[in-house]
Amino acid sequence: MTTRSATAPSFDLLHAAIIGRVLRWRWGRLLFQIPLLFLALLIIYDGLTGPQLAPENMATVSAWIHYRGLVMLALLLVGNLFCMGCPFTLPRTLARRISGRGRRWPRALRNKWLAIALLFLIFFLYEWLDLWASPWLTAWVAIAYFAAAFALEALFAESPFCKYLCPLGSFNFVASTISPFQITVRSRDACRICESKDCIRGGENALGCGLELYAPQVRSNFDCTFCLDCARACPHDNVALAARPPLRELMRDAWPHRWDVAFLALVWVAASLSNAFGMVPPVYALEASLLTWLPFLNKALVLLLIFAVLNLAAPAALGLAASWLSRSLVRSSEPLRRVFARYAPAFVPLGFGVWFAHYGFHFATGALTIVPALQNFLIDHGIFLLGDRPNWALGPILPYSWLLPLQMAFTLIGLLATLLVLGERNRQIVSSSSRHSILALLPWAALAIALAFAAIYLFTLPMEMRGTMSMGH
Amino acid sequence: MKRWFLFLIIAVLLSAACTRASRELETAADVEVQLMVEPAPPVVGEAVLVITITDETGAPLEDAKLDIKGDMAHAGMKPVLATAERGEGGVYRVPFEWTMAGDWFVTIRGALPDGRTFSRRFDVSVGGEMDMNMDGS
Repeated sequence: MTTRSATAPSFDLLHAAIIGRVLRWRWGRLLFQIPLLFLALLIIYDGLTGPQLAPENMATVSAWIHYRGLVMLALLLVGNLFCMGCPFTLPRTLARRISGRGRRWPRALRNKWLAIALLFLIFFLYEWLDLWASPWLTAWVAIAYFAAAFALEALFAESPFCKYLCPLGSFNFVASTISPFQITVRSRDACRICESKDCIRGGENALGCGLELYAPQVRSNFDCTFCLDCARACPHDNVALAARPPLRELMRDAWPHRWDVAFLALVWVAASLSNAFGMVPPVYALEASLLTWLPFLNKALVLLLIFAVLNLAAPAALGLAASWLSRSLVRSSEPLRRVFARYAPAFVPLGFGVWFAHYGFHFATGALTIVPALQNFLIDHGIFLLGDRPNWALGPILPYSWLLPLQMAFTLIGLLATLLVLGERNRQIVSSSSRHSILALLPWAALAIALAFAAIYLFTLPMEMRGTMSMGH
Repeated sequence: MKRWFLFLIIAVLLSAACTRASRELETAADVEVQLMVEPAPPVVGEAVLVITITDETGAPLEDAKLDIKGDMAHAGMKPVLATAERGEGGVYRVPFEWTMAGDWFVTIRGALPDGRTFSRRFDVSVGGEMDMNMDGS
């Protein structure tokens, strides 16, 4: 029996009436994974064999409209539900059988630098290959995910694909740090006296945490896939999926003070703007100008240059400049890394607001396009369950006139939350060190305000979608 | 059990792929379809599609029933739909609207009185300032 202590969470989803039982059930994760597995197989199948016009194909509509919109909603309302139901990890049991215990992931790679590189790569490929317009390539992205997850799982002992590589996971890890639920324990005393540590080592009922997070020490959603293996493995039923104030993790400075982790957060925020920038007229003007000024470059290299500057160089330069200014203003000799790592995570709410505004726009304008795409798919297979003609007139779920105000509102709410987190992080350091003051906050607050208004400016620009004329329809 | 499940999935996918009958761009080889747009070059806003339909000898086909669908490249964009029923001298003038700048794919599907059907897809690059009305109202 578990001893309840004063640290027991006020609301634990794992002990809610019905959903709690389902989540803790041995096959609970499979319940989420099976539908997503079928969706992934549908993406592959329709992407490879269906119409190659993106709005007519289930692969492109479900991956680029519904997945992105719904994943943001899930992260905002619950947490990292996509990783919980991730179909790409399903072959893991088979892979583990092949590998036996496998090798340890190389020590030099146990950080987020590869994750940053792959996140950058997927955003670059998205722009260069117009993944959003190609069912065929979208299918191959899904195939590549299955192959990579399987291979990495087969070769290594832990789950390096999830923890160190997966771009979707990296995206979700950062975003889920504002989510309202987090893994914790109901009683720390129970963990203190527990000898088996099944939550991390695995037990009779379940694997332990593949990402090697020890439940009583979890202070952050970062790296947590919500797989709930820890909860199923715990012989004391002591693991909780607890409700928490959404900004608590960021305000409590719960992340490790590492360059890679902090930089990943800023890259994620920068990508929220550059991804929107990729769909407005100035990006095409910039592309054309660069091709004129640098005639030895082709389109791919020009896009690589643009997005390397926006997604890597800009966050690095702006983050370092803000860190240096912040330190200089209070004449502190604190390592730059600590300053960078203290303030960079505070930008997550702003990034979340911008991502939500962007992906929410596509979802709001195109949610119902899944209906004619599905009708088209069924009719192609001689199934007339949903009619004998696709209803192409379906599309938006919100009036277009609502969208820009909503986008602005999400961005400003994100900015406000970022400023709150910055203020709280600064207050904590001011109270512990007389050398700090409100001045340390100013460069970061100015950067947040500038990014928010840049995002709002982008949202006011007309959207334009180009670069797909060579698709060979 | 797991092997059977895997086998079942693969079998379903393969059989579905074999029986798939995509209706994309069924083409009557003896029908010529040409598309011009007004204004040219196309810009965001109201437009006219000028569709010319002839047979293999160049004789106009005046009584085709046309379904026209304009799609943007991005998934999730509601298409612009239009129809036409008669084209004087084989020329069908169809009011249309480019709702956004960018790359468009105009698909024209037609049916002739003798039962023949045809379809063609055209790439159109639309530029210009935008006054977007996604509601179609």
